[in-house]
Amino acid sequence: MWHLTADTLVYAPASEEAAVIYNTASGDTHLVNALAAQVISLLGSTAASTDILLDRIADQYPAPPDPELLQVLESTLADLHRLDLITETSA
Amino acid sequence: MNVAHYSLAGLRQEMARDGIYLQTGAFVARVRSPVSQVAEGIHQLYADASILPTHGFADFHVTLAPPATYRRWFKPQVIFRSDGYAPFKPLPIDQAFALFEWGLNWCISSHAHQYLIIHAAAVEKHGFAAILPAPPGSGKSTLAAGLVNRGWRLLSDELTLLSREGMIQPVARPVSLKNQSIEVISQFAPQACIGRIVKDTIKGTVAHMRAPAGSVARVYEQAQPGWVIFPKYQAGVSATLTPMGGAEAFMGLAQNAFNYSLLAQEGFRRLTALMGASASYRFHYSDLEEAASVFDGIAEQRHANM
Repeated sequence: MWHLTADTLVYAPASEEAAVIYNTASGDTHLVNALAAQVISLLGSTAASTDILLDRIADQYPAPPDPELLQVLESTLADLHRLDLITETSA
Repeated sequence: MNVAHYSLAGLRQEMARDGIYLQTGAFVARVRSPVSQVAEGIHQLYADASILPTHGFADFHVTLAPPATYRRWFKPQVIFRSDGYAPFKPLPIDQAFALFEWGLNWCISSHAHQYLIIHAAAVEKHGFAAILPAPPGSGKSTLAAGLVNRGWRLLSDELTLLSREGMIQPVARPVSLKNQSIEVISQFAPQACIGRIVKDTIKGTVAHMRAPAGSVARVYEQAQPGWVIFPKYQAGVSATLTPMGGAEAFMGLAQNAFNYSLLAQEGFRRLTALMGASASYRFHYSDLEEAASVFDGIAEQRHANM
């Protein structure tokens, strides 16, 4: 299960492909893509597995999930983990 | 009483004795100095600023004086102190007024943490402020100097102060001009009052332009943010305003803020509010008249939409 390492603040301008994430524990500010910001927002509500995140993100679009979405999501999760914004624990 | 009410000799005497309580934008600086270049610079470039009654409150207590060494007799120097602390090495005495300006910038950026302090110029028209953040050499001060000579109000040259309420607090002090921009502004605005030109400083050749009297008079009138514009002087280009993503502009502001990290979540909150109230652009220009015309265009458009 993925969860936030600390509370975060998000600045995500509407209809933009980028967003700003503030990590309240480290004080670091990150420029991330819109998908990363969406992941952070989802994890702000509750911890979730990669599969659950994939479903929730896919639910927001009318088209069926693109097979590449999982690949992009995994890459995004890895980036957010590297930035110490999220961490993974066993369920 | 304004600085202009003093004779130069009288101002020099006051500054050498008890010092003057100079209103510099949102702040009062008690300035003491026996160095005539400091008094001359203040007399010329702060002519419209107020001198408050002595022994009142001052945000900063600064002195500029020759170091107590034998160097006072050859290659004389001046040292800036704030509350007795000297943040800079002594400089040649002919740089005394520039050192005063740099020293006041240091005082504000080191102490005024009630504001989010952004390394940016800011100008205002029709109540809305254009914030111009940019690294040195981008033509930020030249653009600001040009705009304030074409009807915009000077809010600040070096330090844009964003209040808790999301408003821009004016600090209408002299505009710092460097190298070619001194001649550019002299040609562009022959009526502008530009002080002594000092060569071979750490920033090259520098001179300061007096803030317009109207800007100094409105120093208590805050402005609402309207635009965040990253300027870049580029020889030969037409003035071009290109929309910029809000997230990218946010990061640009954070990188140009002196105390963003210090303010922590509050810094993030203020920048988020600022971005919500502002349109963001990149701006390339080479001709100041053309640049002023583009800026007037966006100001008129915003004014018309109110």
